[in-house]
Amino acid sequence: MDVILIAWRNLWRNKRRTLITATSVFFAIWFALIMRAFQLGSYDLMVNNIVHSYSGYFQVHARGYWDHKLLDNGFIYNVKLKNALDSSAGTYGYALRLESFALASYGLQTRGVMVDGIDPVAENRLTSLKKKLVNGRYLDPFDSGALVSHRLATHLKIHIDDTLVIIGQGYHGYSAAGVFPVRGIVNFPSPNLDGRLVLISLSAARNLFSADSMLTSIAFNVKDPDSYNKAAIQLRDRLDPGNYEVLTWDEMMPDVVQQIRADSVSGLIMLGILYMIVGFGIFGTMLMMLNERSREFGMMVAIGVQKSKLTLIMLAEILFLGLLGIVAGVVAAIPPIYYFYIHPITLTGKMADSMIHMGFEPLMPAAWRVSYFIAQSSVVLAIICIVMLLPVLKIRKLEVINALQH
Amino acid sequence: MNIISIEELRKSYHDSEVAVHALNGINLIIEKGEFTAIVGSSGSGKTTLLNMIGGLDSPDSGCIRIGDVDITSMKSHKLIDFRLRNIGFVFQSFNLIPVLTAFENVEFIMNLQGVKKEERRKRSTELLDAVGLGKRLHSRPSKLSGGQQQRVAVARALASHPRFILADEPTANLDSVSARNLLEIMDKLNQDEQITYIFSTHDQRVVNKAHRVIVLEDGMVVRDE
Repeated sequence: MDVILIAWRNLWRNKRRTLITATSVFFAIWFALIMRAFQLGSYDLMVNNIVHSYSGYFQVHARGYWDHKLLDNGFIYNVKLKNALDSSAGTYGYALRLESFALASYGLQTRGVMVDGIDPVAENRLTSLKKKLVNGRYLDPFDSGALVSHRLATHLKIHIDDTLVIIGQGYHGYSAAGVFPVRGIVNFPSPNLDGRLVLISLSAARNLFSADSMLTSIAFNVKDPDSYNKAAIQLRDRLDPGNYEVLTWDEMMPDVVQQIRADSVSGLIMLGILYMIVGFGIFGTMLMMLNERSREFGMMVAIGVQKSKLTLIMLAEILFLGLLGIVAGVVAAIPPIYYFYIHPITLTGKMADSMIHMGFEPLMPAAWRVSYFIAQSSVVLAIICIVMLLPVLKIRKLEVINALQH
Repeated sequence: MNIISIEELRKSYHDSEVAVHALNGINLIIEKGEFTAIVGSSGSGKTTLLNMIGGLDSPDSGCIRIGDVDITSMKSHKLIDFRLRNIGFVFQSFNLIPVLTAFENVEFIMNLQGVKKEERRKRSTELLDAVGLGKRLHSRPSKLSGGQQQRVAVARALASHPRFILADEPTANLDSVSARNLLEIMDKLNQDEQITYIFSTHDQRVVNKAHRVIVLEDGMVVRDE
């Protein structure tokens, strides 16, 4: 009790210094939390766009399909495969797809597009496709119409009930041509997808590409997003590796992972610099506290205070000082982070253009994770603990006579 | 009854390659209830001797026994504990823990000794009453005068029921009234409760109060009366 009482009162012996030091910790943790929240929020958005808009957490393809995305590298969806998929653990539904590239035309406009034959019900479970509908209606399971992505529709100047012409190459070189009334317009967060996607029912796609019973990919959702790797590995073990490949979203899109890592490292360097400055700030304050109280320490040891107790008092002071800044910083960071988590910043102008150009939604949400608040606070606490070594060493080496003469 | 016995105590300091003999073979015996003043010019070794007796400094050779215990061979943490239970200190200045009140400063020592709360409170109040600070129990040192602070230091020194109290020039920073008050209190405690005091001092008022005066010169006892 004495330790806590003395430490707390010592902290307020020099109010201004305590407040300045605590404020430096406060700003460091506040800036770190805000900065990192936006950074992690952007990554989450990227991954979310990829996983929940299209790829799923992992996909099954015929071996080699991902390197050469050709219809000829598709696979037959048979009962044996279905049974294997249905019994895979950790998954939360899957969506069958037959995808290929083709030319889409309306009026005088033509554009290269990705035609995606989907099971509308399963696809909606995986990617909430129905929610992305901005105009028209959703596809029926055996629909003969198409959903056109918003940017593509704008480019083609096509509207609901207009007829979209698709020309391409089908399975084994068959020519693929078809007309599809536009049932709806869907808006994808990823500009890359939004500019080139035409969705038709799986049966219509099989007809178009002359690829009866065939699929090019099966996309999976998982129960626990943090353990998608485990679910993918389990499924990989169930399937014949000579015929099938199971790829997670990050294996399919290593460039995105690389981009996130590179950006994250730059953010961590910034945080490191910020924390180093704070560390030196606390170190300086502590050095002053130790030097100006040498005589007091000498007196305390002389009258019978063990050095270990004196060390505890100093450690408690530094800890209070750090906690004061950390708690205030975290409390002050929570409202803006939560606000921007609910209401992401919409980027405009060149910044938005550059995001769209890179294939991402021009939004800047903040991440909202308790673990991340704990992690940042722990880092600052760890720095404080390192700085605490100074009083430990200094008090250990304290010579009472020298200290009393200080 | 001997409280302190010192035999052939020697201590040298090396100042720019020149050895300064601060204590040069001191032999002393201090008995219970003595009011002893150690006097001498600056550099005569009185503070060094006081530090040695208090276990704050270690000698080059010789022996200091407090009761039956040779404190010169004690390990640091044991010596700190020994000081806590056996020796009271009154320093020249900066005696008190600045963030604790007068009452808490006195109580603090007993808390370190593991004395129960009720007893701590009772004794702290009694001691502060005894030094005339019964009405300033909850004042911090910064709100007390120099003389009052020294009186709190005396109360604190007594709190642990020490065998003796070491006072290093306790009146040096006090005005004459405060110094006289402090000495009267210490004298009274010495007479009433047989408290043993060892002073290092230049102050003639302290010397006049002392029952025994030890004069040091060049690290040696030149007079003991």
